[in-house]
Amino acid sequence: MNSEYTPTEEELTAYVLGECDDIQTKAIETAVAAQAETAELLEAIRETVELSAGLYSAVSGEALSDEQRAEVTSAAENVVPLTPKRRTFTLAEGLVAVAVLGVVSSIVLPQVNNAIYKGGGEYTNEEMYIAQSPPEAVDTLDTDVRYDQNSEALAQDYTRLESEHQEQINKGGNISGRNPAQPSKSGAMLLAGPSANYQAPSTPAPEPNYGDGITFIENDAKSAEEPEEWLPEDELPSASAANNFEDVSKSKDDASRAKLKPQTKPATPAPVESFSVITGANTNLDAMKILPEGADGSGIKPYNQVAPKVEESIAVVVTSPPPAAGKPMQTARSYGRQEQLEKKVVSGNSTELYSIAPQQFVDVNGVARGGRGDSAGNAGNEDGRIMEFGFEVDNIEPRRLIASAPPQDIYRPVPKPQPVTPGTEAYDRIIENKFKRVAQAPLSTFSIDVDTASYSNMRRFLSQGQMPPVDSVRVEELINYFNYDYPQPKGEDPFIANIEVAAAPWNPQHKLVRVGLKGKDIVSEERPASNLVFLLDVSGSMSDHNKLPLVKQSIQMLTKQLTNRDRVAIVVYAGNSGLVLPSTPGNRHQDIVSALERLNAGGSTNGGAGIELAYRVASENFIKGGVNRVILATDGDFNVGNTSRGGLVSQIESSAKSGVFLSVLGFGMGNLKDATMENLADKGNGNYAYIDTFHEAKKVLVDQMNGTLYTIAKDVKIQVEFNPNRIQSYRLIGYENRVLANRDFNDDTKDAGEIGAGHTVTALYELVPKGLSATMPQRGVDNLRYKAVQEEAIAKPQSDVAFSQELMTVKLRYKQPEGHTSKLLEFHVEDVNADYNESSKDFKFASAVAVFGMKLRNSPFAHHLSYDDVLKMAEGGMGHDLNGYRTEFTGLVRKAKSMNPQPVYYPEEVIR
Amino acid sequence: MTQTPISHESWIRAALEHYESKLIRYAWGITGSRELACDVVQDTFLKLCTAERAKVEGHLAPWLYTVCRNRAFDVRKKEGRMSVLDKEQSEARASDAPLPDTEAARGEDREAILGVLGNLPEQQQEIFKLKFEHGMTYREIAKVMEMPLSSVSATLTKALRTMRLRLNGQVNQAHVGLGGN
Repeated sequence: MNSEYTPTEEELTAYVLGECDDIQTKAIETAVAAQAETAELLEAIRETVELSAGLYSAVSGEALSDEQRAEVTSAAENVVPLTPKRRTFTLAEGLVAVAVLGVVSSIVLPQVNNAIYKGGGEYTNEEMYIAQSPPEAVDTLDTDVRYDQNSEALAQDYTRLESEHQEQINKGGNISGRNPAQPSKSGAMLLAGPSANYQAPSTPAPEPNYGDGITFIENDAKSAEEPEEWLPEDELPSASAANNFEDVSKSKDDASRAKLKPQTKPATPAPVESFSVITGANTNLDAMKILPEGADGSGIKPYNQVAPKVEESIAVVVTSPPPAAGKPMQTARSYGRQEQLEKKVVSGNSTELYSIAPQQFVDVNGVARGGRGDSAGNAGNEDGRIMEFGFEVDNIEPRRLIASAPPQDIYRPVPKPQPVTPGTEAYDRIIENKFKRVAQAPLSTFSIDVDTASYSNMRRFLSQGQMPPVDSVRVEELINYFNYDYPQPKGEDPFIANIEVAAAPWNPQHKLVRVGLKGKDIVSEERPASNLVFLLDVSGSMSDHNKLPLVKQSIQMLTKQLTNRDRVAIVVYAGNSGLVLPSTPGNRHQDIVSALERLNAGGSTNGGAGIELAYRVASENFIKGGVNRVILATDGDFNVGNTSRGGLVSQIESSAKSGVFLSVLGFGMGNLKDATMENLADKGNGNYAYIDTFHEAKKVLVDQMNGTLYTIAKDVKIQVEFNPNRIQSYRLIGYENRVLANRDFNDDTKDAGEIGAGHTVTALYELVPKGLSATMPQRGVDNLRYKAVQEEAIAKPQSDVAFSQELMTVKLRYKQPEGHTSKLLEFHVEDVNADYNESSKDFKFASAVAVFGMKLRNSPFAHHLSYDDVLKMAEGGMGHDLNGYRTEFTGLVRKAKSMNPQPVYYPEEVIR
Repeated sequence: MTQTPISHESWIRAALEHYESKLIRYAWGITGSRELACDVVQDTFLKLCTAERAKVEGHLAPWLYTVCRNRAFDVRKKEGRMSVLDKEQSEARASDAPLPDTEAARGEDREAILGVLGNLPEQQQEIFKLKFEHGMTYREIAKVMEMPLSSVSATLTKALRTMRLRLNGQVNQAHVGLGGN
């Protein structure tokens, strides 16, 4: 195989410059050893590189003028960034601060100190947990600038500070701060709380500083020179999310601060937490309740709220998202008097202030939930009205997170973009399926998905030493990348379901159900004649070595297997589109190859016109009863003509009605429009594969050619009905963007996934059996307030079947490739109470892949599982692994593990 | 935490020592003037003084080059001496910025290669220099130049190919290959 692979000049250059990963290096070395021409080219490149490098071996040194140097060094001496050095305390400030401290400390400090010291080691953990403020809360690069602007304000009298602060509080400013590990030692820290980030709506007037890391969140107009601009805006999950520096430096952050600070003030390293301060009358408590979920619905908006003149209460909303849950953990607590909180903030004694919060946090979410009067905030609450709210929080949650999330881990997850993803790759947001209660949603419906693109894309990221962007990981595509050894369908149906139930490897009390579909395989001799139209993107963006050149290789490989019954045409599109190869018998390889060789990349990308032409060619050469397919090879970047995804999709959708199927092959990186391509394939009755290497091309187009090209059933939908007497709740793993409405299952006009010859499709459900102790938190499921009533209703005997061993019924609907009406298949699943260890190898392997996917997605469901767990599960399911794909998988897991420090483990009972 | 803490001051000083010369030559290539380059580099370091160290540490080189590059392009625009050019256009034009290295050429190769380099499009020159003069990886270059990794790779390959062909006396044989837009 390697002898077929000829490295491009670009690949060779990268190789000489040491830019290739291990796999590529090996491939190139093999090719160089086998091909004299390649070796020659390599030598020539090496020579040029050496010359080039030698060019700069002895260049003269340049230096700034003495004056310039002096200016820089004096700036270095005088400007100590992000430390309170430049802030001078006026007498007024000091006096007021002391006075405030006096008042506050008598009320608050005893509890605070208590909070700090009592917690001991556990407290530190809480802190770690709390330390996950969203990246935008820690945007401190601009801080120094603010210092300049604000230094005057600082010198002004305290009342002004207070009034301005008041204003910010009224506006619902967001205070975030670093939580020191120890209480501050000196009163001088008062206004200089260690790196407290005060975030408030921008006020044109100078802002008071309350800490040394003060930031104003909405003021994210960055200097043109700030490296935040490295990532294009659309690549950031949120506008002000972390930049590249932050990504990589997070874990160092604290360390560096610790280093930096001692020069000026005694300071302590500290994790970050964020607070929102919202004012509202007590009558508004209901609104506050909603606030953290989405302020818009509540009428109280954190940033826009205009403060009523008289405030009776303040809610402190601690928004510290769990490391990966992607959803902030929120707790609101009202204070009796605004004044009190304000004083704490203004006094800047952030050591005390920010130490309170974690303790409250524990109180609210932990065992002592509802225990009142035990935290600092309560102590000062004169009118005694204390409200506590927890949102999307279950009691165990904080502990689990503590257990599995060391600081390094904390910073990798969801809210921030992955490191350097050059270019403008686009992924659709995926919101993970949660547990659903059978009582409320007894049916679960989804379309099958045979795509595998997400897996190879993930592999590309990992082999480049990056974690894949969270939204690029579609767990079902990871699972379906592998072939599972399900029995061949007999009888007339083109596929059968193979269902297996065993204990979930991550929680023996839960069950894992694997629904596997196996499409009938076609022997090569029997396969129908094919009419293939390759639609190739030859725009400028395709010139990279892993794009058009790889496309050419891929097509050559594929067409080698075609015979004179088959027909091949090639349509290219860039700024214009054209027919490069009219429909040609598949055995005329030379014609095909020379057409391919003529292709060059250049120009813009008008995908729309090309699609039209390709479908026209396909229709003109339509083979009845055969395979009629357009194969689109692109990086998905359509930038001319019909560029809207909606427009392209509807174009494809209407073309698909002609009976021509679509395969989308994604190539390259940098501006991969993953979402567009998946959407096109989905609507075009097709499949989507991402081809990053020659090997992947071989897998998709040669090894699994039948599955890729020969659709044996279309619009395959799965509907599962759960037995409420056996199952309490369930969760579909993956398939987030394939979920269908229950009524769509029987609606033949609703499009769904296709299954190709020999394809296997696997879906996993995690089930919580009925009657499992109520103490077991089901993440993502709110506890039902009216539980008793509901369960009573369910418990009414319905039928014998309802009380059988049956866990669920799996219903399948499919259409023949050219059919219009669907056929229904039904499978009843009984529980055999199998242990995980008794499960099949495929079951084990699929669950390993699922967990890996969940980990890559930072799923809270996989937080307590390590990469080692994944490896263990995968190794139990290796089987024969003829193609080496499973071995490759374990390599990727190790790679991910090496990039992510091992979580700390706590005993199981803590986790569960 | 393992590193011994060095003061902010000496950190800046060390950065200055280490990158001063490289950055001046880099900025020189963009601004076309040593004087302007020095201004740019001074600004860059002043910026560094006020930047948050924790965020810069560990990425000092890309940070400096990025700030320096943006500043240099700003200055160049302001100076108006090349007013038609901006970052986007620059790739299409052969650079007329003098090579910062003013030392007498040593050997024919060197002279020849400098000559060829000087005739490459500016973007290619810049990537070439970041790679060979400043020793950056593709990834670092991609960050600094704000372009996709794959383009860095493609552009550098193109630059090296042109150099190789021209150095071999094939100056006029325009290479027809991928990427002709």
